[in-house]
Amino acid sequence: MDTPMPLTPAVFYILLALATGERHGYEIMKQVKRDANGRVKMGNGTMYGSLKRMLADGLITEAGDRIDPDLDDERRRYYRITDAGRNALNAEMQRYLETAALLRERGLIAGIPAEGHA
Amino acid sequence: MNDTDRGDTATERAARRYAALLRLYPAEHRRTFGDQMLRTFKDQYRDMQTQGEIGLSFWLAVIGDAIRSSMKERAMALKASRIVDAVVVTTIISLGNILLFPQGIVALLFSIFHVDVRSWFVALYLPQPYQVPVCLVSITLGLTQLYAGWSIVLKQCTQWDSVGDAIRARWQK
Repeated sequence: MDTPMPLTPAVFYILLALATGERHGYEIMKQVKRDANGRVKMGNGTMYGSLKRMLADGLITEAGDRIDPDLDDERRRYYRITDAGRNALNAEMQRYLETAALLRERGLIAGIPAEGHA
Repeated sequence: MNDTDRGDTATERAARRYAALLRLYPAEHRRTFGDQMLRTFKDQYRDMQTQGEIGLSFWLAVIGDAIRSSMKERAMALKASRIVDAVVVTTIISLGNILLFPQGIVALLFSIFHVDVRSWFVALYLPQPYQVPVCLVSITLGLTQLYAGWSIVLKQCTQWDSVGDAIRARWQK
Protein backbone atom coordinates (compact mmCIF):
# COMPACT_ATOMS: atom_id res chain seq x y z
CA MET A 1 0.00 0.00 0.00
CA ASP A 2 1.30 3.51 -0.81
CA THR A 3 2.35 5.64 2.15
CA PRO A 4 -0.03 8.63 2.36
CA MET A 5 1.49 12.01 1.49
CA PRO A 6 2.66 14.29 4.34
CA LEU A 7 -0.20 16.35 5.76
CA THR A 8 -0.46 20.11 6.14
CA PRO A 9 -0.56 21.30 9.78
CA ALA A 10 -4.28 22.19 9.46
CA VAL A 11 -5.22 18.75 8.09
CA PHE A 12 -3.03 16.97 10.66
CA TYR A 13 -4.61 18.78 13.62
CA ILE A 14 -8.16 18.34 12.30
CA LEU A 15 -7.58 14.60 11.91
CA LEU A 16 -6.05 14.51 15.38
CA ALA A 17 -9.11 16.32 16.78
CA LEU A 18 -11.44 13.81 15.12
CA ALA A 19 -9.36 10.76 16.08
CA THR A 20 -11.09 10.51 19.46
CA GLY A 21 -14.66 11.02 18.27
CA GLU A 22 -17.14 12.93 16.14
CA ARG A 23 -17.06 16.72 16.52
CA HIS A 24 -18.80 19.77 15.04
CA GLY A 25 -17.02 22.82 13.63
CA TYR A 26 -16.45 24.83 16.81
CA GLU A 27 -15.41 21.73 18.78
CA ILE A 28 -12.81 20.97 16.10
CA MET A 29 -11.56 24.57 16.24
CA LYS A 30 -11.20 24.48 20.06
CA GLN A 31 -9.54 21.05 20.05
CA VAL A 32 -7.01 22.15 17.39
CA LYS A 33 -6.17 25.23 19.49
CA ARG A 34 -5.64 23.04 22.57
CA ASP A 35 -3.63 20.32 20.76
CA ALA A 36 -1.36 22.81 19.01
CA ASN A 37 -0.90 24.93 22.14
CA GLY A 38 -2.05 27.94 20.13
CA ARG A 39 0.76 27.49 17.55
CA VAL A 40 -1.67 26.71 14.72
CA LYS A 41 -4.02 29.64 14.15
CA MET A 42 -6.98 28.26 12.25
CA GLY A 43 -9.84 30.64 11.57
CA ASN A 44 -13.34 29.67 10.57
CA GLY A 45 -12.74 30.12 6.83
CA THR A 46 -9.46 28.22 6.85
CA MET A 47 -11.02 25.34 8.78
CA TYR A 48 -14.02 24.94 6.47
CA GLY A 49 -11.74 25.14 3.42
CA SER A 50 -9.69 22.29 4.89
CA LEU A 51 -12.83 20.31 5.80
CA LYS A 52 -14.08 20.71 2.23
CA ARG A 53 -10.86 19.27 0.76
CA MET A 54 -10.67 16.52 3.39
CA LEU A 55 -14.25 15.47 2.53
CA ALA A 56 -13.30 15.39 -1.15
CA ASP A 57 -10.18 13.32 -0.37
CA GLY A 58 -12.18 10.87 1.76
CA LEU A 59 -10.21 11.60 4.94
CA ILE A 60 -13.34 12.56 6.85
CA THR A 61 -17.06 12.15 6.38
CA GLU A 62 -20.17 13.95 7.60
CA ALA A 63 -21.79 12.31 10.59
CA GLY A 64 -25.16 14.05 10.50
CA ASP A 65 -26.69 17.08 12.21
CA ARG A 66 -27.58 17.05 15.88
CA ILE A 67 -27.81 19.23 18.98
CA ASP A 68 -24.75 19.74 21.18
CA PRO A 69 -26.13 19.35 24.73
CA ASP A 70 -23.30 21.54 26.09
CA LEU A 71 -24.36 24.48 23.90
CA ASP A 72 -27.81 25.62 22.80
CA ASP A 73 -30.65 23.75 21.08
CA GLU A 74 -29.45 24.47 17.54
CA ARG A 75 -28.37 21.58 15.33
CA ARG A 76 -24.76 21.37 14.20
CA ARG A 77 -23.06 19.30 11.49
CA TYR A 78 -20.73 16.66 12.95
CA TYR A 79 -17.67 15.20 11.21
CA ARG A 80 -16.06 11.79 11.61
CA ILE A 81 -12.61 10.48 10.60
CA THR A 82 -12.62 7.69 7.96
CA ASP A 83 -10.31 4.68 7.69
CA ALA A 84 -8.33 6.55 5.03
CA GLY A 85 -8.06 9.52 7.40
CA ARG A 86 -6.85 7.29 10.23
CA ASN A 87 -4.24 5.72 7.91
CA ALA A 88 -3.04 9.18 6.87
CA LEU A 89 -2.84 10.31 10.51
CA ASN A 90 -0.97 7.14 11.56
CA ALA A 91 1.49 7.54 8.69
CA GLU A 92 2.10 11.17 9.65
CA MET A 93 2.66 10.29 13.32
CA GLN A 94 5.01 7.48 12.24
CA ARG A 95 7.02 10.08 10.28
CA TYR A 96 7.19 12.29 13.38
CA LEU A 97 8.32 9.37 15.55
CA GLU A 98 11.01 8.38 13.03
CA THR A 99 12.23 11.99 12.88
CA ALA A 100 12.28 12.23 16.68
CA ALA A 101 14.23 8.93 16.88
CA LEU A 102 16.74 10.23 14.32
CA LEU A 103 17.20 13.49 16.25
CA ARG A 104 17.70 11.57 19.47
CA GLU A 105 20.17 9.17 17.78
CA ARG A 106 22.25 12.10 16.52
CA GLY A 107 22.08 14.01 19.78
CA LEU A 108 20.26 16.92 18.19
CA ILE A 109 17.70 17.28 20.98
CA ALA A 110 18.99 19.82 23.50
CA GLY A 111 19.82 18.25 26.83
CA ILE A 112 19.61 14.65 25.61
CA PRO A 113 22.94 13.03 24.62
CA ALA A 114 23.18 10.97 21.42
CA GLU A 115 22.39 7.28 21.81
CA GLY A 116 25.54 5.26 22.47
CA HIS A 117 27.33 8.33 23.88
CA ALA A 118 25.46 8.49 27.18
CA MET B 1 -32.78 43.75 29.28
CA ASN B 2 -30.56 41.28 31.21
CA ASP B 3 -26.93 40.25 30.43
CA THR B 4 -27.98 37.13 28.52
CA ASP B 5 -30.31 39.12 26.25
CA ARG B 6 -27.63 41.76 25.68
CA GLY B 7 -25.13 39.00 24.82
CA ASP B 8 -27.54 37.36 22.37
CA THR B 9 -28.22 40.69 20.68
CA ALA B 10 -24.49 41.37 20.32
CA THR B 11 -23.97 37.86 18.92
CA GLU B 12 -26.74 38.36 16.37
CA ARG B 13 -25.29 41.73 15.37
CA ALA B 14 -21.82 40.19 14.98
CA ALA B 15 -23.34 37.28 13.02
CA ARG B 16 -24.92 39.74 10.57
CA ARG B 17 -21.49 41.30 10.00
CA TYR B 18 -19.94 37.88 9.51
CA ALA B 19 -22.74 36.90 7.10
CA ALA B 20 -21.74 39.93 5.00
CA LEU B 21 -18.13 38.68 4.99
CA LEU B 22 -19.33 35.30 3.71
CA ARG B 23 -20.22 37.03 0.43
CA LEU B 24 -16.47 37.00 -0.31
CA TYR B 25 -16.64 33.22 -0.86
CA PRO B 26 -17.71 31.55 -4.11
CA ALA B 27 -21.45 30.84 -4.30
CA GLU B 28 -20.99 27.06 -4.31
CA HIS B 29 -18.83 27.22 -1.15
CA ARG B 30 -21.42 29.47 0.53
CA ARG B 31 -24.25 27.10 -0.37
CA THR B 32 -22.41 24.09 1.09
CA PHE B 33 -20.72 25.61 4.15
CA GLY B 34 -22.28 29.07 4.67
CA ASP B 35 -24.77 28.02 7.37
CA GLN B 36 -22.19 25.92 9.22
CA MET B 37 -19.63 28.74 9.08
CA LEU B 38 -22.16 31.18 10.50
CA ARG B 39 -23.13 28.69 13.25
CA THR B 40 -19.47 28.11 14.16
CA PHE B 41 -18.81 31.86 14.15
CA LYS B 42 -21.70 32.41 16.60
CA ASP B 43 -20.34 29.66 18.89
CA GLN B 44 -16.88 31.22 18.76
CA TYR B 45 -18.19 34.77 19.30
CA ARG B 46 -20.30 33.75 22.29
CA ASP B 47 -17.34 31.93 23.84
CA MET B 48 -14.94 34.82 23.28
CA GLN B 49 -17.53 37.27 24.62
CA THR B 50 -17.82 35.23 27.83
CA GLN B 51 -14.05 35.40 28.19
CA GLY B 52 -14.07 39.12 27.42
CA GLU B 53 -11.85 38.68 24.36
CA ILE B 54 -13.97 40.49 21.79
CA GLY B 55 -12.13 43.50 20.47
CA LEU B 56 -10.29 44.93 17.50
CA SER B 57 -7.79 42.06 17.36
CA PHE B 58 -10.66 39.52 17.21
CA TRP B 59 -12.28 41.29 14.25
CA LEU B 60 -8.95 41.80 12.48
CA ALA B 61 -8.28 38.06 12.78
CA VAL B 62 -11.79 37.22 11.50
CA ILE B 63 -11.53 39.61 8.54
CA GLY B 64 -7.97 38.48 7.72
CA ASP B 65 -9.00 34.84 7.77
CA ALA B 66 -12.08 35.54 5.61
CA ILE B 67 -10.03 37.43 3.00
CA ARG B 68 -7.24 34.82 2.89
CA SER B 69 -9.47 31.77 2.78
CA SER B 70 -12.02 33.26 0.34
CA MET B 71 -9.21 34.15 -2.08
CA LYS B 72 -7.97 30.57 -1.85
CA GLU B 73 -11.47 29.19 -2.47
CA ARG B 74 -11.98 31.53 -5.42
CA ALA B 75 -8.61 30.54 -6.92
CA MET B 76 -9.49 26.86 -6.56
CA ALA B 77 -12.96 27.38 -8.04
CA LEU B 78 -11.38 29.20 -10.99
CA LYS B 79 -8.86 26.39 -11.46
CA ALA B 80 -11.62 23.77 -11.29
CA SER B 81 -13.68 25.63 -13.89
CA ARG B 82 -10.71 25.36 -16.32
CA ILE B 83 -11.23 29.00 -17.37
CA VAL B 84 -7.52 29.70 -16.80
CA ASP B 85 -6.56 26.61 -18.85
CA ALA B 86 -8.83 27.73 -21.68
CA VAL B 87 -7.39 31.28 -21.68
CA VAL B 88 -3.78 30.00 -21.68
CA VAL B 89 -4.39 27.49 -24.48
CA THR B 90 -6.32 30.02 -26.59
CA THR B 91 -3.48 32.54 -26.16
CA ILE B 92 -0.82 29.95 -27.12
CA ILE B 93 -2.74 28.86 -30.24
CA SER B 94 -3.58 32.44 -31.29
CA LEU B 95 0.05 33.57 -30.93
CA GLY B 96 1.17 30.42 -32.78
CA ASN B 97 -1.15 31.25 -35.69
CA ILE B 98 0.12 34.86 -35.85
CA LEU B 99 3.78 33.77 -35.78
CA LEU B 100 3.25 31.02 -38.37
CA PHE B 101 1.07 32.77 -40.93
CA PRO B 102 1.31 36.60 -41.11
CA GLN B 103 4.69 37.03 -39.39
CA GLY B 104 6.13 33.81 -40.86
CA ILE B 105 4.85 32.37 -44.17
CA VAL B 106 3.28 35.54 -45.62
CA ALA B 107 6.25 37.74 -44.65
CA LEU B 108 8.63 35.11 -46.09
CA LEU B 109 6.77 35.08 -49.43
CA PHE B 110 6.71 38.92 -49.54
CA SER B 111 10.44 38.98 -48.81
CA ILE B 112 11.30 36.33 -51.44
CA PHE B 113 9.15 37.94 -54.17
CA HIS B 114 10.16 41.50 -53.14
CA VAL B 115 6.58 42.64 -52.63
CA ASP B 116 6.77 46.29 -51.63
CA VAL B 117 4.40 46.05 -48.67
CA ARG B 118 5.57 46.16 -45.08
CA SER B 119 2.30 46.74 -43.24
CA TRP B 120 2.61 45.00 -39.81
CA PHE B 121 5.01 42.27 -41.03
CA VAL B 122 7.83 42.81 -38.52
CA ALA B 123 10.51 40.95 -40.50
CA LEU B 124 10.06 43.23 -43.54
CA TYR B 125 11.24 46.27 -41.53
CA LEU B 126 14.66 44.59 -41.12
CA PRO B 127 17.55 44.83 -43.61
CA GLN B 128 17.09 42.36 -46.51
CA PRO B 129 19.66 39.74 -45.33
CA TYR B 130 17.89 39.33 -41.97
CA GLN B 131 14.35 39.04 -43.30
CA VAL B 132 14.35 35.37 -44.37
CA PRO B 133 16.07 34.05 -41.17
CA VAL B 134 13.67 36.03 -38.99
CA CYS B 135 10.70 34.67 -40.95
CA LEU B 136 12.04 31.11 -40.53
CA VAL B 137 12.47 31.64 -36.78
CA SER B 138 8.91 32.99 -36.64
CA ILE B 139 7.60 29.92 -38.53
CA THR B 140 9.47 27.57 -36.18
CA LEU B 141 8.15 29.36 -33.09
CA GLY B 142 4.63 29.37 -34.55
CA LEU B 143 4.73 25.63 -35.31
CA THR B 144 6.08 24.89 -31.80
CA GLN B 145 3.33 26.93 -30.16
CA LEU B 146 0.61 25.34 -32.28
CA TYR B 147 1.97 21.88 -31.47
CA ALA B 148 2.06 22.69 -27.74
CA GLY B 149 -1.41 24.29 -27.75
CA TRP B 150 -3.15 21.52 -29.68
CA SER B 151 -1.35 18.85 -27.64
CA ILE B 152 -2.88 20.33 -24.50
CA VAL B 153 -6.31 20.44 -26.15
CA LEU B 154 -6.08 16.79 -27.29
CA LYS B 155 -4.80 15.71 -23.88
CA GLN B 156 -7.83 17.37 -22.29
CA CYS B 157 -10.05 15.72 -24.88
CA THR B 158 -8.92 12.26 -23.75
CA GLN B 159 -10.67 13.09 -20.50
CA TRP B 160 -13.88 14.00 -22.31
CA ASP B 161 -14.38 10.67 -24.04
CA SER B 162 -17.10 11.58 -26.51
CA VAL B 163 -15.36 14.75 -27.77
CA GLY B 164 -11.95 13.02 -27.80
CA ASP B 165 -13.29 10.01 -29.73
CA ALA B 166 -14.90 12.28 -32.30
CA ILE B 167 -11.70 14.27 -32.85
CA ARG B 168 -9.47 11.19 -32.92
CA ALA B 169 -11.82 9.46 -35.39
CA ARG B 170 -11.70 12.52 -37.64
CA TRP B 171 -7.89 12.60 -37.49
CA GLN B 172 -7.63 8.91 -38.28
CA LYS B 173 -9.79 9.22 -41.46
